[in-house]
Amino acid sequence: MEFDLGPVVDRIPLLLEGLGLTLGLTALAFVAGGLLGLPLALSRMLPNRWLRLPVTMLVESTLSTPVPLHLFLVFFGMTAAFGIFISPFHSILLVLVWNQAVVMSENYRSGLQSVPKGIRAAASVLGLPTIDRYRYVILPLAIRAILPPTTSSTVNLIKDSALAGFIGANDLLNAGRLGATESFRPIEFYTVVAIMYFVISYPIVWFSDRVEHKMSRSRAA
Amino acid sequence: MIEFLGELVHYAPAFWRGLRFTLALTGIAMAIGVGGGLALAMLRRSRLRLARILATIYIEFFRTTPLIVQLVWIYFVLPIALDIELSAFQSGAITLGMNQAAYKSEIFRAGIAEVPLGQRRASQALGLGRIDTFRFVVLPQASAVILPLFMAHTMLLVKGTAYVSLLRVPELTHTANLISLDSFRFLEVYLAVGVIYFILIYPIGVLGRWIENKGSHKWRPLQ
Repeated sequence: MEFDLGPVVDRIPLLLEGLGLTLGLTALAFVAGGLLGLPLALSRMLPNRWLRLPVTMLVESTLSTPVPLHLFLVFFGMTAAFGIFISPFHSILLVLVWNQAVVMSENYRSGLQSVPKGIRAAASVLGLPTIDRYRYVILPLAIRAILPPTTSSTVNLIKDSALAGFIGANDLLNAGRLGATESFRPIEFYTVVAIMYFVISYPIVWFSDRVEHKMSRSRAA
Repeated sequence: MIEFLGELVHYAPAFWRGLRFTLALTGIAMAIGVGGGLALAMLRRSRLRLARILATIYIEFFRTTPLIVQLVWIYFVLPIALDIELSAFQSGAITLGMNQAAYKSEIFRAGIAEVPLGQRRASQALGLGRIDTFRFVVLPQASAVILPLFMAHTMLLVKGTAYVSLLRVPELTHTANLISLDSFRFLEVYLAVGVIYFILIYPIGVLGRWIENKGSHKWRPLQ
């Protein structure tokens, strides 16, 4: 077995194009999902249980079913049932945004709920207006709890974007697969693609481990 | 849509086969994952620097690359590299197992780290060996941290089996693709399979939360 990177080098522009789509999908879904997650989290914290119920059902059913199935449901199901054609790019984007929104809503919710009741009560006893209470007391504490799970959700987002190739969108993995089929060099292409995913994801994991380490130290102090 | 639900009954044997494949993948991967995860967690605490480094590289690699990339890598590359034959099912089970091992080892590590060092010193001072210390002092307390995380990762594992549909292993998701191509009822079939997944996965999450709420007070390590 020989390891020949020649065909991979020839197709670097294609791989970079795929990488661009992977990063673009991730960035779009990170921002849109992060924004959409907030109203989802707040509506799950409403006092009226009948208002909470539909959101809870949506969130739980999303978390309890696999992402590939969501993708097939959107890409094939919508076209077959309603005649709405959603392009591969828009299908994967929709699925990633929705899943990120659901995961982020859980992160927001547990972050906000991690702020002890006593601290909230103390802030209102001190006479702080609602905005100041959130700005100076609740949010600084909640963000500390939200940050670590958010970094791991972001890594998961990059990983799920690799589903794009299932329905024919040309992301990094799909670019590698095309190269592997055309050149009969699966070892080289899949190894390079795996390393590229590692290179884009590892900094996030490293950052998250560092943050967690720092926070556990400050908690201990 | 209603009349199609009656039609779905014709596909019951196919759904049943899909469910068996999904459960088989889950079971095998769980076994590899628990064994491999324990081994990796111990390697990371080993006195040998090289063992620690290799275990860390393995874990970080499996945590940072997509499961699908690992799947195609093991399906296409491993047979050529090692000159062996691997069926799609075997590749899927091995990949899920190796992936789980990386995540499970992190869970075990987090659990073990939760038990204060002083307790380990105390049990050494009492004359307990390394294995007895682990078995009677560390493990019971570590399980309070490990069990809820373990449940959450089991949910991820069952969802992970759906990625193996890429290799055309007839588990539930690939079965859904086949049935919807046969019946042209894409939406209904995917929704039906979604319900099956929900019934499989949701209770695991409920159980995990229950353990976290009820058990943790009892098993929390003494500080």
